[in-house]
Amino acid sequence: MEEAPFIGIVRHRIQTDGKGVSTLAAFYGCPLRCRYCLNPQCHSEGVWRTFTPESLYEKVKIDQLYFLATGGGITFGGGEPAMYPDFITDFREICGPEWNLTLETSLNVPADNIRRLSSVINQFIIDIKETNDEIYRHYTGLSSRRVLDNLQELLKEGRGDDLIVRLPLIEGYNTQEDIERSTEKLRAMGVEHFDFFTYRTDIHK
Amino acid sequence: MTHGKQTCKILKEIRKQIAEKNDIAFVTKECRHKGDCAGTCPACEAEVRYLEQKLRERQQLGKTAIVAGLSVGLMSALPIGLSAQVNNGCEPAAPKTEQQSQTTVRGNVGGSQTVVDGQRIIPPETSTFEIVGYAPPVFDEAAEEVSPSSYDTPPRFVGDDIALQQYLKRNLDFEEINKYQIAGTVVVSFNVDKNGFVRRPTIVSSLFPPIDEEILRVVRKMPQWIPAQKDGKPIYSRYKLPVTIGPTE
Repeated sequence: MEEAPFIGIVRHRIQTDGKGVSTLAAFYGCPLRCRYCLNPQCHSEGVWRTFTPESLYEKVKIDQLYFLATGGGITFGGGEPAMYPDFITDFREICGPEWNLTLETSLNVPADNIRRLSSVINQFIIDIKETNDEIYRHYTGLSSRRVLDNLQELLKEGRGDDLIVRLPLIEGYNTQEDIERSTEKLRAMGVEHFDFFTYRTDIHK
Repeated sequence: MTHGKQTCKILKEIRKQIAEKNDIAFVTKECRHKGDCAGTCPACEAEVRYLEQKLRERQQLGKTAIVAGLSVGLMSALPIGLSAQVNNGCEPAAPKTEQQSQTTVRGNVGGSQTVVDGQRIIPPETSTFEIVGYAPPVFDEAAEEVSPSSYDTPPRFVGDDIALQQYLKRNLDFEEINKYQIAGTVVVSFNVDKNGFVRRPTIVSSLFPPIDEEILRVVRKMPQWIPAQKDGKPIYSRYKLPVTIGPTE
């Protein structure tokens, strides 16, 4: 099985990114270069260590009792976890169906990655950033086209109830009106659950 | 309360629920750690290993281990976004995922409790059954019950009657009890063993079955008593506790 690089593991997250008690496993690497990236160590030289799906399971199974009791499990974040669909699908085979697997993603990855992940992921937390492509490109360095395409595919599959879309207010990039426009657009697509918040910029000053 | 201590408290409550539901003798230690904590520690981890061992033993005896979804209700009552802010088991510095949530609209966490058939409940352990760092409670089984007249001093709750009343007030679910609009007295009888552990609570005088059940639940959870004494030595005894439910308005 393949090895993947990670920037860290955080145990005992309670209803933060995923249901119940969860462990965050943060991958290294991301196609985006966001101005206010919360984990910039996911680029350049931030690799902490590598795991295979089996060795990651051996590491995180210590909290299985809490996962089962609370409907929790593993939240894959990073970096961009959707860059590692093989790893995550192999991990699901090892951990079994009882663990809740959450993917915290930008969705800015090839469509095939999301297609493969959809069958093993229980919940998607999507940091959509902005639906206005110009603002998105300005903030991340990439186009948002495949983000919305991937989102559309997930909604067509009927996964609307398993998606939470995060719409941040990004100082210097978007406004409250932009967020309202995005919300309307996403509701029209079929998105049901939103998380509105403000990006922290102070840590980058 | 710091995030770490909050996390610790929640995880402790989950462990208690698992022990209760699976009839596992379990007494979790009060944390005396001062200052911030990581949400877990060797003592807490040892309690988890102990519970896992007991659940495996239960499965080996052909009994069902009840864990799946057991604490979903507890999770539903919590504010969203609670996580230990310190380096809780994470290596190296914690990667972050959440910025600053202002308004959240999310689906309901809810779920119903299900019983797992035991196939994959606990990963198989290759190590021995010795659990380092946790001393499971030692229950003393008397050959026969001791009648009250054999005491020099009866068993008592630490802090005596006032503390016992406060314990009951803090732990009984009055929202549930008051639903039935019934006043009266329930008498619960239980053994107190030589180590002060409360055993085999039973209803001697019933008020109403759901209220009886709630009182039994809280009595089962009681911390250790000071055991009865005879000739200066602790002995096994039986105690009858009247619990009066007051009139509701």
